[in-house]
Amino acid sequence: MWRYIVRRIFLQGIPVLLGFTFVLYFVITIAPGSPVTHLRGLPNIDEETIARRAEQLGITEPFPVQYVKWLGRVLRGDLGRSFDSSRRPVAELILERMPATILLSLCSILLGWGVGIPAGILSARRQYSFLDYMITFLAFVGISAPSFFIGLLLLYVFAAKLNVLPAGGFFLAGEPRTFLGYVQYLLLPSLTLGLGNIAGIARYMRSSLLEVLGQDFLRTARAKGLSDNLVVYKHALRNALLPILTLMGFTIPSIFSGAVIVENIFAWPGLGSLAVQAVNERNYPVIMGINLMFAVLIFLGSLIADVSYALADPRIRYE
Amino acid sequence: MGKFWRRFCRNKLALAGLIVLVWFVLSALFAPQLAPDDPNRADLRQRNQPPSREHPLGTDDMGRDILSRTLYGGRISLAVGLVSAGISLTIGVFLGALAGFCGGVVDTVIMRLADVFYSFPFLILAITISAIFGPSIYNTMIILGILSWPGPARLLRAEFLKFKTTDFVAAATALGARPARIMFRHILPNAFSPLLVSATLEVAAAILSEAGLSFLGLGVPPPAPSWGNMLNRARPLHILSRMPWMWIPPGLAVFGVVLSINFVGDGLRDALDPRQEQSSPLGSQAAD
Repeated sequence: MWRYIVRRIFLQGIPVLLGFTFVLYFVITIAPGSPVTHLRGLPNIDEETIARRAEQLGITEPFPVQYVKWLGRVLRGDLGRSFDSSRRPVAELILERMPATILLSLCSILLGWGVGIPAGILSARRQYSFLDYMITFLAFVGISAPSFFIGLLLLYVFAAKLNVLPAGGFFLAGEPRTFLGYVQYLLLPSLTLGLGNIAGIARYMRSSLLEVLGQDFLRTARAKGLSDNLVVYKHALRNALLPILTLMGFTIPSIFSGAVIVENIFAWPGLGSLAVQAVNERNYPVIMGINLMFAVLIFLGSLIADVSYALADPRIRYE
Repeated sequence: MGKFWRRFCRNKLALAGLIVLVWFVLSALFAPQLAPDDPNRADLRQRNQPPSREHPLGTDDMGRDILSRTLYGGRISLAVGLVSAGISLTIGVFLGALAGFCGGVVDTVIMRLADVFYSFPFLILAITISAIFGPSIYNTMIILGILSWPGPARLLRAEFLKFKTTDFVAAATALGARPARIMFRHILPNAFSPLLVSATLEVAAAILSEAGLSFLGLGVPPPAPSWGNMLNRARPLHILSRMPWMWIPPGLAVFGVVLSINFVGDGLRDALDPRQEQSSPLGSQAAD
């Protein structure tokens, strides 16, 4: 197992991350306009000052040199400084925002499992019943629902009309961090972010359980007189849940994508709203840092998913 | 064709989806005839008006007619969806066919590249590139097209692997057909069914992504109306809570189009592949 993990990191993770950062850095470098272009329009500034500024930012060197230097600094844990007036270290900005994004993503993944799995089980156990039709229909709705519209709708109903939940944000300064407070702030954003996930997992769970229920060993279990509940929950469910674990690796990128939109709707102080802000300010060090951070998180997520799959199913052996 | 149509109609939701979809496409095509007003004409005396006889869906914060903007927005949203799905399918078909047919190093390189694209939060990359090159309708089409080729590529690769070892390919090779001819004249037509289903779903995904990008202000830039940027304008809390006519129509439009395309895709999957067991009550295999 350890050999597999090490191989995954060195043979897949690192090449993918290197390739990804190289391409992104290249795209940013060839982009029209540079971080000093806007200085040309200012009064009382001569070409010499602009050139000096460009030199300071290290953007006069050829692209490969810039990239290698950037990579060297990243390996030492230095992601550079933000381009905006605060000039704060990028690593600090990211660490400050990361917990909120991870909390939100975890909640919506848990919501996806907590609601999606029971819904899928119900659907499969009563195949072709009215309930099954309803769940399958709702799953289609959940997969098609645009998060930005659902988010606005939830805000409209629960924050503006009923006034029972906060209209976004995450704990005002000085507000005591109670459990109820967490629930209130997290409920709408994680529901919006988790909706597609709930629907996807319900659909997947249904077909996975139906497939297992059709297998011979379950006919044997039934034939020897086990009750229906025992057959489903003790014998079938464990096997049907396995593919759901692999699904987790695939859902992580889409959860982070969704977080960008959801964090913006609900003014959630996470990486997604930082990303949009940085992108609008053309704040390249922050953009690179966030992209790198997401790439690492996603790689780790898929690694954890695959490893837990192997741990859960003794038949799986990664050599 | 008749048989295909009968099978498609058996899936009631797919049929309903098709009808709704045709309705949306027609209203986008005939937007100039249907719209009560010029979508970009601002009337500052008529700002923030609720629905009335003159403006059936009300006006926005610049006094523009919401119904007209929703109709014209449909043109842009559907066009972006179709073009970017076209781009991603073209790239995906070409690379997927190459990977599946050639195998070896070509296959490894293409599929690793697909992994890189697949394992990344699509939207973050899209907003980054869009901000760098400046948001515009054409950039949105290109970005969405280029970022979503791995899906169709994986599908095509699997199909090519399946057909590569068949007798008719061996026969074509024996007759001296060149590889390009075998790939595109002999194998590709066999992969038509799954490709069509994947194409419908690509269009739905592209429409959703365009609306998401425009919602963040990094897709279709105003004043051109798109469903996403109409929703973007409605984000301030006073508009959200007191003027729902500004954001409910474009939101419902995105929702309706995507839902109906997904239903149609589901129906197509059943109708094109009768061998598949019908496990879902809507007539589809649930797992994607």
